[in-house]
Amino acid sequence: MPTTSTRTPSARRVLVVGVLALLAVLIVATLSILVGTRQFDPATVLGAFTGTAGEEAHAIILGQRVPRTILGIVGGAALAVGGALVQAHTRNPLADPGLLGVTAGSALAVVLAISLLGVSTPAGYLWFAFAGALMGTVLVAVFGSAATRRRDAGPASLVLAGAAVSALLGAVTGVILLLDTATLDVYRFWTVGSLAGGRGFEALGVVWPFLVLGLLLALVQAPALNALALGDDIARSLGRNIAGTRMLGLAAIVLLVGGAVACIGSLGFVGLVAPHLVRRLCRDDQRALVPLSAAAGALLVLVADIVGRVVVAPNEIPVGITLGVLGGPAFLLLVVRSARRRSSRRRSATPRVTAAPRVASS
Amino acid sequence: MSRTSADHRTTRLLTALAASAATIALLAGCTSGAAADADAADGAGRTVDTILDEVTVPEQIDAVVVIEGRRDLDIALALGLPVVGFPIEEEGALELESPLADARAEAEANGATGLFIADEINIEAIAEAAPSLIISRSDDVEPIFDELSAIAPVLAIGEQDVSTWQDDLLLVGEATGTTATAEALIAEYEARVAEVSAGYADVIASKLVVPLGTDAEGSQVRPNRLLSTVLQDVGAQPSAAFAESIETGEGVEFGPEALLDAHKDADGIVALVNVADEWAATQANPLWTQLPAVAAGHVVRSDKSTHEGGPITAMHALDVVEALYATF
Repeated sequence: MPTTSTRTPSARRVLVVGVLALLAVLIVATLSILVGTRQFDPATVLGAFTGTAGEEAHAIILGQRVPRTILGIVGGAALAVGGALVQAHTRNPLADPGLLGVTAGSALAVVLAISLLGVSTPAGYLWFAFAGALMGTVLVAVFGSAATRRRDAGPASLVLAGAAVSALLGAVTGVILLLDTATLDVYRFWTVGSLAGGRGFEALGVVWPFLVLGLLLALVQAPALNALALGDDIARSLGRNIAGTRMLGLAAIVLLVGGAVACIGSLGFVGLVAPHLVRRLCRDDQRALVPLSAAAGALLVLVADIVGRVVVAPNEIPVGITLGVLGGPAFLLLVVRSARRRSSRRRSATPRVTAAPRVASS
Repeated sequence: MSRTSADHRTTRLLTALAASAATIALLAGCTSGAAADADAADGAGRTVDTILDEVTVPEQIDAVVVIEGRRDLDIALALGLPVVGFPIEEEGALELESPLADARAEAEANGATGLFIADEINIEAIAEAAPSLIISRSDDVEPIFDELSAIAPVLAIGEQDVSTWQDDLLLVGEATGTTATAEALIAEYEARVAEVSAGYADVIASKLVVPLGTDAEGSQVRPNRLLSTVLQDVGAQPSAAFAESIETGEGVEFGPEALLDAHKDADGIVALVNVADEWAATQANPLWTQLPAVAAGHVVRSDKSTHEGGPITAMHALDVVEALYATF
């Protein structure tokens, strides 16, 4: 079922929305640096940047809040764009990166790294997260293609292969964790997803080129995704290379999601929800949806992180949990409103008809 | 065949049947007599009240299985009970050596073995070990109490938030006829507490200390962990965070930003960190290095192996506490 409409937003509208989204990200990022479990006045926060604040403020602002804010922006944006790509390629509005085996592959590789090699920091399991994401996606692509006996796996077979591969990899991960609770201790931080202490910042220093490349690939293939939304046959008739587009898409998803989960863990929900937050604004035009999803993902993660830092101060709630608690009901609301809107559109579009003659059963 | 001979044969058959019946009756009588003896032995077992139920433990204990693997194992090993099975401890789960390592190694040399992975209780493996007594934390055995009771008497003990290790040690001692050993172990602990208290009296009275669990997600202080209770036993002056946790009876937790602010009043810290990477990250954290206790070098390290235990772990925790006070 295509998730897009053929209407395209005006360039001006997209520009305005884009600028507003950027502004919103900047405002929330500033808030993320100003607010935390430890309270500082704005002058002290500014002093941390100019070197006039005390050692504690300096360590907290520059050592924790700035890194976690950057991680939130980059990780949230990458996961959201990854989600938008998955939804476009599978033509499934409920798809997220987990559906294509990316997260399950990453999780298994990270668990193996923790369990067999004793790795316990994001910088340590960075490459494992990446390799696992790649492995999971390749498996899904191979099985998806094999199922259709075509070079380009169709959306349905991709989703089915993704579900099967994710279940298989998840089962192996589960067995390892069952046998090794010490690994579980380290893994649970990764699987919940957290920006605490900016501990993934070191990993970001390594993965940023992959994230940039992934984002570029996503932007480059956005026009092709618009064609893909009309169905494979129509897209092919429009001159699009389906197999090429799909492989490019998978590569972008691996780079974006693999890089993001290496830094901030397996944050659920962002890839699913963020594209839906902006879908109406850009009327499903992927050229606008991809960058706007990035902004929405960044906003989502930053807001959830700020809330998690404030509501139980002086303690914190990991951003993955806050996202689930806040994002779940918000997404349900979105789904209900969207369903009502579709139903009212359908009613207004359907010509009024007289009641059908009742057929008496004999 | 003559009638006489037939009568004789009938008589012999009846006689044989009667003899057989008498033999069976005699054997049956002997068997019920043996059963009665066994019952009498059971009746002579020791009956104690546990948190779950009243339990009668046989006088002769040949094999003990522990299920939780911390307080229960510690108590069983300390009392010299014949432990044959315990939960499997993972290789490399903790960087520091377990306080129970030596005692467990000795038990293993005597035939004890890991029966199942911790928290994954395998009832069949327990039955296979043929224990005469099962000891474990009540939370673990309560859901499977009937199944376990069919294997052997179940001695349910408490945990840090329910009972002290001394209470549980005396309970197990009473149930297994090792009360004297239990009392001696408690006396030994108390003597050591008195020794540390006296040896560092001035420092203990003047320095605020905190047993501090810390990782990337923040820091936490719990009042009922074994190490926390040992600190309280020697009369430690608690830092504000430690005092709050003792007062409320619950743990207090702080986010990573609050590390310095929450623990800057502590003069000494027992850092509870499990793995090497986490310890390295903690030591590299500028907020950690700014803590007055850290800057002054009044820090010792332990890990979660001192969160729970019995007399052996308590003595080890006392060593850790003494090492902290020795830094002043």
